[in-house]
Amino acid sequence: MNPDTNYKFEKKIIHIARSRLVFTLIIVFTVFVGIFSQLLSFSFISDEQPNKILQTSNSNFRSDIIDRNNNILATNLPSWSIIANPKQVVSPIEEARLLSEIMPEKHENWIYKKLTTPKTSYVVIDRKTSASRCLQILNAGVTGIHFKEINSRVYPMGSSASHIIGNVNRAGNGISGIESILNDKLKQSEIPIKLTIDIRVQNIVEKELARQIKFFEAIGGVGLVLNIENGEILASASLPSYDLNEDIGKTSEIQRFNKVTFGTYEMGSIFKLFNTAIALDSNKINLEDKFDTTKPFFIGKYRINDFHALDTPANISKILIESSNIGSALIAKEVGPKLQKQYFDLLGLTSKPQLTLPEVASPSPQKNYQWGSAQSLTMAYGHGIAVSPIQLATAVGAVMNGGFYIKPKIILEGNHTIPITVFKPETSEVLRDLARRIVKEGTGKKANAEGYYVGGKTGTAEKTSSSGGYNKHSNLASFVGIFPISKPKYSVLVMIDEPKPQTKKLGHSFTTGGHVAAPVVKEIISKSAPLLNIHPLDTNLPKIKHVRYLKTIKNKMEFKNESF
Amino acid sequence: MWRFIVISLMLSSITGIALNLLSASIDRKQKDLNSLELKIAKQNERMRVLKAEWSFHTKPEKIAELASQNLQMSDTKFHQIVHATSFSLRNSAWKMQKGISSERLVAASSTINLKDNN
Repeated sequence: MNPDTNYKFEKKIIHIARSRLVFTLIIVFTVFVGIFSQLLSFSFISDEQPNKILQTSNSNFRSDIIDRNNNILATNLPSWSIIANPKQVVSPIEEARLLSEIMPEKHENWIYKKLTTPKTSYVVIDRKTSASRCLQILNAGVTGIHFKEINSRVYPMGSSASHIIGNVNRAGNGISGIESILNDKLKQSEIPIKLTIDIRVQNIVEKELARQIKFFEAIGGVGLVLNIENGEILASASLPSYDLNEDIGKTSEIQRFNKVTFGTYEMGSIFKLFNTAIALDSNKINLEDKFDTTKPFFIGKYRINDFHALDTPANISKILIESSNIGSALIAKEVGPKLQKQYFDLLGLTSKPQLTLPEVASPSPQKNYQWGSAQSLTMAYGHGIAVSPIQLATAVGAVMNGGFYIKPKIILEGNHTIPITVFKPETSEVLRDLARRIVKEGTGKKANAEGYYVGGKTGTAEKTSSSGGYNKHSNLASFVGIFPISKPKYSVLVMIDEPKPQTKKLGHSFTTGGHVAAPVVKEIISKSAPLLNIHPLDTNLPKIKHVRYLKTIKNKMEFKNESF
Repeated sequence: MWRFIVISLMLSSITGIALNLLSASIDRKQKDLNSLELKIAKQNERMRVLKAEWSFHTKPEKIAELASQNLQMSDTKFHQIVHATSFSLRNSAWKMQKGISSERLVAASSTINLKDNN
């Protein structure tokens, strides 16, 4: 081998060795960087499960229900279930004693039975309890007790507006009221559902209604305050009611029944308002026409009488103010059943109201039924037709507010419904005047709330008996009040179910709408009018026909004129 | 050539480490964010509880009872409410600016026309 060849060979060997070295270096370096970066990353690995708690709490989310003034009516709060594992309980007698001391509503024997339940390791002691009670149990050192965090529905107002708000079941799904009908919306949206209810007015209605039910030993009652300008329900009370925080299983069907929207009743003489309005509006009669109300009126063998017999023929005003059944039947005869039905249809008295509630009843008879002459005569004074109190209050609103039927609503936000014209404004004005006279000098004197112009109509209807016909000893005493009658804004309906005569307390045995329901309406109006921004007017003073007032429009104060 | 490879490797390693540190920093920030979100959620829950408690304690019947017991207050009677024009008005600055004076207000109130229609 010559030196040149040798040199070339060595150079090639060195080149190969260097390449191998570089190659090895690359591999070693890459492995080192990999290991180093992996080691480095270990020190920064997050030990936290991202937002697990948030996700858990959000899965049970249900938005609030609030009243028109943002008071919470229903909300979700964290609470705990107390669960026992009988296999882990060391001394059941002692543990039961300790637990019953912490939970006085649970009987010691009941807890003992739960703690000694055989063949199970899961017994619910309390489905829903507070954190402080759980802490007490923990501190007491009770064995075999476990706690499970749940998201429970809480109703701070208790039994107030319970039929409107409704309930949820254990799975957190609505089963009645707003909770049921807006279940999906409550679960999906975080925006609270705002009701038209004013909890302050609701409380006044419930309190006054309960007081009268107790006084007259009645079985229940209905109270309703409706804004007849826009259909908003401000208060809706159905008694007896129940506390929404209590176990629904412990409440009776009567307590759960919403009489305002789900009950239909023959409301009696309040229907005379519609009868009079229809007759005047259709020009079938005029204010001067007189009817012979001195003797009973017969429909076949069926006799129509008056509670207070009138000894002279009466005009339409007197018939309404004295609440004459005979006179109303005679007016209805002039109107005829076809026209009567047309108006009843427009007033929503023959169709199911479109309310955002699941418990809404259909009236009887319904829209597709055309009644005859005989039935139209009894319907004139509210017999032979059964409607719900909400239907009645809405229809009365249409008579008084200038003649517009406005659908009632329970949710504050939403589209405004288009009013349906039913009566001429002149008809409404006459009816307002007559309604005022009923309160000033007629059957509704006890509803005359001092300082406020109240108009209204009494209603006393015998309830139907289970054996057929009417039961003379069980009444529905009702009164619908409108205020201020000079410019009607609110209607207040009160109905007392089966009031008993209170001769000893009152010196008489009347259980009519004028004696039982009208005083409640008076109290409701007196107490709620200041809250509703209705300024009192001295009833001894003449009617205000024209006012001037200051109004801020675009930061500029201007005088405005308004006529009543 | 091999120099280029070594430099590239060094650069990529530095970039890798920098990215790793950045990723770790993001993780830390995420952790802080989660912690803050948890705190917010807890505070929101606390607020919900307080709001519910507030609603419970300010129930109209409860307020009425307390007002009656401690302040001897009862429901407002109609004669306790008077019309704004019953008060004499002071000519404060804002009224002057708007051109409103007590004289004008009294004049306005005198246009209230009272006629019995009942």
